[in-house]
Amino acid sequence: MRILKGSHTLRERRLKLTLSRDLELGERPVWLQLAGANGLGKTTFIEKILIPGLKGRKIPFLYLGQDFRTQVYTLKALLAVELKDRVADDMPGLLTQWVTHHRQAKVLILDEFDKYPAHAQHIFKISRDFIRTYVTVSHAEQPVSPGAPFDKRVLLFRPAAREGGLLRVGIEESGPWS
Amino acid sequence: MVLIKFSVLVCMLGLFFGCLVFGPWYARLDVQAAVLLLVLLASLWRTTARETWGLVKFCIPFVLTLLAFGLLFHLFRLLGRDDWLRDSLIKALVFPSSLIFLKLLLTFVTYLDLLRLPIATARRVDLITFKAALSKGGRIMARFKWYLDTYPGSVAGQPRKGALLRKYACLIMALYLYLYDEIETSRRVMENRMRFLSRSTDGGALEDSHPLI
Repeated sequence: MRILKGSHTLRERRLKLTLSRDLELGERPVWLQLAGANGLGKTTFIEKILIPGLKGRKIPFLYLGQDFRTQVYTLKALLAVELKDRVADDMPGLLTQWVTHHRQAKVLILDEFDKYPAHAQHIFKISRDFIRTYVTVSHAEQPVSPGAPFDKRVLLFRPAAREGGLLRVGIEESGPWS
Repeated sequence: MVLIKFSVLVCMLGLFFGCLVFGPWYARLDVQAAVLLLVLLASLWRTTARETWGLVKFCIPFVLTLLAFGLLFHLFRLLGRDDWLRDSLIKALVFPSSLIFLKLLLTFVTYLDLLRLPIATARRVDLITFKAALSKGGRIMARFKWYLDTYPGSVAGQPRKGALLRKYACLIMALYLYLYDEIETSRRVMENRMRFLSRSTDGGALEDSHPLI
């Protein structure tokens, strides 16, 4: 999947996200970290650009959002409807059921999910053999990593200027974090 | 004062349903259309365009289904009747206007009104909890729907047949699970505060019970 370089104006979020180069995903195992200060549109990028792109190309993906405590109800409901087994009561069990039930997924997006480090580690462990691309947002100093063979790439969000009520944010790939 | 307010609201509700839903103006297509328009305008004035549009969107599937069945029955002259289409049109107007009108009336009921109601504390807690859960549930629906649209079954690999039905089953179940938790939490908080308030107004017990004093 390729996200073309250029500007994406998101008026309702008062953001203009400008991607400096085409973003190619899915050719080889990649762990893409979205980095930058709060309010620069990382979640917006995921929900308004990346996810619609994946849907448009019919690439199956899994997404755990920032408001996971809200999302978890939909996970439970979905598993209750689709699984023959009983839905797990505990979080690791629930995540295992959810991830393994969707083994067709190629991309896994985790937005600040490493605020639950043990669960994030667990998710990486059980999904590594079928996920090709991980996209994560993290504010941790040492983000939880999916490990080898995933190449770490960092997409950096930097504020550029104010433009007619919109905050222009440049998005560019930078070297791996030290 | 609160009793007068509740009485007025109940009277308005009774008048609305008595005249327009079960009463003499039910079959008046022009009246029903005008009422829907008025109710929509009132909703725009009382709430927001977004909320009003949300209610309209909620009604659209039901209204379209009603009209589709009405048209089908009309074409086949089911049970020898030739008024199916007109009947469906009336129902398609009555359903959204009743729902929006009811929602509109509920916006006039505040938490303070419920607190001032001269009823047993347990019933008051029920009402407050119910109102809190309903208002939270309304806001959370769109987010649940958004999440359900991101799951792999809704993207590829699954047959389209039944997918919509499954999604709405999940939506209702997620909402139920959420409201169940929310009601439990709200009730615990409410009961705790009620206990605290009754202790704190009980002759100097505040000093004993408040951790900061």
